[in-house]
Amino acid sequence: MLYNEIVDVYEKIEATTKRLEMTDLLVNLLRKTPKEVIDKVIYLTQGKLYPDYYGVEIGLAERLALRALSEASGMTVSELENKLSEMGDIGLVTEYSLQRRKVKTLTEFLSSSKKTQLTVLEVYNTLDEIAKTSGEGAQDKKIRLLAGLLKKATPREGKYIMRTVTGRLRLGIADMTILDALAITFAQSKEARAKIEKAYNVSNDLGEVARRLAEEGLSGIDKIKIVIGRPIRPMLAERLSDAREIMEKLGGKFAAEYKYDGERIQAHKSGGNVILFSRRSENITHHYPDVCELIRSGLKAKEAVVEGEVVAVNTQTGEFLPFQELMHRRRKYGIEEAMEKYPVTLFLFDVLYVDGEEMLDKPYLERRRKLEEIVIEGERVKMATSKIIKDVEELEKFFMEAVEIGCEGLVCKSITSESIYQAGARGWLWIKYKRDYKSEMIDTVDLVVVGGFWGKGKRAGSYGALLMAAYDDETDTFKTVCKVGTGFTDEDLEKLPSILEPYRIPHPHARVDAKLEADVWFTPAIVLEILGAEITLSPIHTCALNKIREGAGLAIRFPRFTGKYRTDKKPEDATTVREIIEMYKMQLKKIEER
Amino acid sequence: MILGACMFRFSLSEIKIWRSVVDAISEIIDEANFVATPEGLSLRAMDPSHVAMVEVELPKSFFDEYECEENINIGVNLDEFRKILRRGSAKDKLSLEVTSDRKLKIIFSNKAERSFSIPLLDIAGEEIASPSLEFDVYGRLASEVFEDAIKDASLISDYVKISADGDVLKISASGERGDVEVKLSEASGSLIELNVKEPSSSTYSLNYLEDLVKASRASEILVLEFSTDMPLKLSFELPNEGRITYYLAPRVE
Repeated sequence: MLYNEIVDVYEKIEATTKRLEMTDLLVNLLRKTPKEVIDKVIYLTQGKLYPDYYGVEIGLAERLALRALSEASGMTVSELENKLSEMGDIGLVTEYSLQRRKVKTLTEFLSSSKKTQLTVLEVYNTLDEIAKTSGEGAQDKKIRLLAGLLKKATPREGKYIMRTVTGRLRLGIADMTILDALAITFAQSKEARAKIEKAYNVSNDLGEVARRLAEEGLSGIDKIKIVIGRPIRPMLAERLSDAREIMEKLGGKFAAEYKYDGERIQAHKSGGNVILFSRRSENITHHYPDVCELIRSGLKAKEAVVEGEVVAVNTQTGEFLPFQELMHRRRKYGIEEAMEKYPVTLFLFDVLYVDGEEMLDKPYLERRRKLEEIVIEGERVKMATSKIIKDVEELEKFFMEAVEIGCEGLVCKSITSESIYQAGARGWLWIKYKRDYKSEMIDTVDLVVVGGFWGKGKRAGSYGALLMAAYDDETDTFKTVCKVGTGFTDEDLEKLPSILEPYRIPHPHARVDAKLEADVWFTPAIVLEILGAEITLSPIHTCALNKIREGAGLAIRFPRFTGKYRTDKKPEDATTVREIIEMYKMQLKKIEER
Repeated sequence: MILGACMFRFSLSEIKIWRSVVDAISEIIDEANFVATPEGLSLRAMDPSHVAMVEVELPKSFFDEYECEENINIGVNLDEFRKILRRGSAKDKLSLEVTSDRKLKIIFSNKAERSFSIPLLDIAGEEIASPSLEFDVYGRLASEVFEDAIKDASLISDYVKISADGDVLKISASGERGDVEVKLSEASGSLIELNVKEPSSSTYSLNYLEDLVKASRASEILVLEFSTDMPLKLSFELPNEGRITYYLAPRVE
């Protein structure tokens, strides 16, 4: 098959914005594509060489691509750069410069050579070689390979080769359009379309789906199974912010799971090998060597595919850290260091495959049971907290508990016999119930130390966290509003026990209103300046209890000691409950969906 | 079989000359496919961008000893091959053997005998025909003289113009950085021979030429041939009828 033939189709696809026309064009292309190269045609059309999870990226730097073009066209790199800033598209620059090319190839002078046209295979293989070339002298080799290809290409072919090799081929074809085209080309029924889509969701590989269809027809599709090391497209949840609606949608009885504010991962385990995929099916194994170890040692199964949420934790307080902190782990270098600085806990919530058995079509409760069976829970690997919910009050309470410990909310999951794992689909079997509102804090607050929790490890002998309260001037009491464990320097930690010793008492102070059980209690005296990230509803703090919502108080999330001891303030001069309510209301904002 | 386990073999008392042949090839390709026949050893390869081509012809007489019964392909990774060759010293005798288990044996012998054995590569590639081209200009000169002219030109530009008219061969370049011109003639003693059928002028990429002239280490004499807007042919004569030839495509203004 000639590369020219697919370039014809690309040009027509670019000229339309109608999905149906695109589908027709693709169908025409697929019908004349030989089955030996159909997978490659699909990848090229997606602007790739492999499915994403392979981790082979073409994306050659523009600078290098222009050097190759310079060699092929005879225009200097600076001439080409000027053209690029004028035309704005490397494809068009390529077409332009190849139409005026100055460099000849030797082939043109060899008596035996005839003008040969580029085949799809030749283009694909050369791009593949460019992508895979690495090591010493790789840049020069990449440039020579690309220049060789461009020299054989017509200006029109060159345009698409350059867009592809620089990762800028954007034909605007959605995966779903390709699935439609495959279904029309190889099968006509609606059921067939669903089957093809499922095969794609399980394999994440449109090329393979196309190849199987072309080689074996619909029966080939059935052979696409879960393969360890190949990510399954994750099931997604719908979203509702009304508890009653959720009850209705899920038939009055369902399972609710904490929705942790971390990174969702799909872990593939085969013996000692573990591969981790992100929500978008990228291989993120090397960011989390610790999570790999947790999977290796925390699953009894030899082979398994499980899903969970990785959450950064403060080892002192045991509290979860915000998502942004976890993102420090997404780095190329210094992984070991980041691993120590931002330790994580893994909360598992689903299992898709165990020792030869596919679990996708099993109902939720059966999957959950299976997961419980194979997980060896420990300090750093846990089952996601979940609960069967039967009424709105229960749901609200569970929701508040989740939010209090730093979760985003709940994921409510159907438990009927039809509650399968719908790979790649967003449906009503799973419904997110998220904190709809949070209030961002801009100012610091001054809070009173009313209790303490003993530290562990490095902080043994001092406090791991302090229980902080705001002053309620209506009742002349102190209401708890957060537990603070971050922001203390080593020096602070050393001093704290002796600073607080004079105020230590065996029980909560009479003017302190707390639901939490602290290890140590103090007479309200010491005032610290605290900076938090946001104010949220909380079932365990007493600040503003029942003022905003029945059964809930307000809490400061992600509090941090600024380093300022407010020795100038008496406890009654601390930030008041009223002020915190005011802050909450003033800064209330709709949470954007991340 | 007369050769026993060995299917092909040659030896050379001068390691240096073989090393420079291999270096000359590695300027344009990474993997080489030598073809051994009872008449001698040869190679023809084009660089990936099809701008330059190398042809190596080493007849039986080039070697001190040469044994080959039937045609055989000898594919090697040039990088690794060069690293091994660097381990030989000037006093060593070099022998190369292909054994029946498809290994290439490289033997250095002086007092001790040291031998390396590496697997042969199967290098797939299209057959390249030898270009049969007629040229209007024929020049013979010391390879050093040409190398110097190319080095001069690279200071100024990425391209060099080679032209010949009457009894002068001119190598020049011009660009934003300035101009340079090198004039060569038999009269001045800088050319050994010059034949011009038609006045000719052509431009070539210095990127490639700089690499190709490195082969002058293998030979003191260079034959240069070209015509207007046609490839440049550079032949380096080796002792005992050996030859390295390059072809380089022109750049057309």
